[in-house]
Amino acid sequence: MEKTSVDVAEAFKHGFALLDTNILSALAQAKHSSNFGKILDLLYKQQCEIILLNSTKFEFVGYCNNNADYTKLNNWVNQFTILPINGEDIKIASFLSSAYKFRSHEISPKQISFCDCLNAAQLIKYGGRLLLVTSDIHDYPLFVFDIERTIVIDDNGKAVFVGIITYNEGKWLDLRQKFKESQRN
Amino acid sequence: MAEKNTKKIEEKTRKEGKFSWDNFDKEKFFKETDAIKDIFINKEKEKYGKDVCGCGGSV
Repeated sequence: MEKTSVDVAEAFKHGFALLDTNILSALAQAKHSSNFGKILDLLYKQQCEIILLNSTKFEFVGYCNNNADYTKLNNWVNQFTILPINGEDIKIASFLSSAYKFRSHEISPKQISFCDCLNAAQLIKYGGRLLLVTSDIHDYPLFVFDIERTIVIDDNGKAVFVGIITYNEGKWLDLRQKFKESQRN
Repeated sequence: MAEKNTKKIEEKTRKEGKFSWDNFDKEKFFKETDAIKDIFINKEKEKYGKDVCGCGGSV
């Protein structure tokens, strides 16, 4: 079930990289944004196009207290392709949140973010033809996904760990099957 | 199904003519990112009532 070897080139072969909100936030808050160039260089080298979910856009742009700031953040984030979420995404995300809880009973529902589940759902929906870039690898558990690569960014002396998360069909099918067979304790 | 879904992204990115490495200017991108820094940091401060680090944790 577990992958025995890591083929990074394979993870990038389909050309789309979904960015998590924490990557956008890290970029926007870094002392020097250009330190994050490593991620862009990697995606550029593999010609992986950057995309975002509209739930990520909400997390990034929301809660501004004036129109000028709201517009500037919107304009910045709109340079990327924004994918809408639909019923299928919510269905997979809901299933995932229950499967996470089934697999790790100690997880509190507060630790399972709807937006993270929506990102995770994209990895499943696109069947490995998409990768996710995140600075919180714990939001994408290894019992469903793989970490194909980690990149350490030096943000003015502070280390930001970035993970490239990919879909693992074997793990997903195994979890789905076990969850479907699960009974109430 | 995954193939069909991927085609949809490809169509959307082509149609909207958004982010593309062909016309990506890294220097311009980071300059524009630096320009939203203050806005973003203030917004996060208001949201959480304190400074937050890049990963969303408080500092």
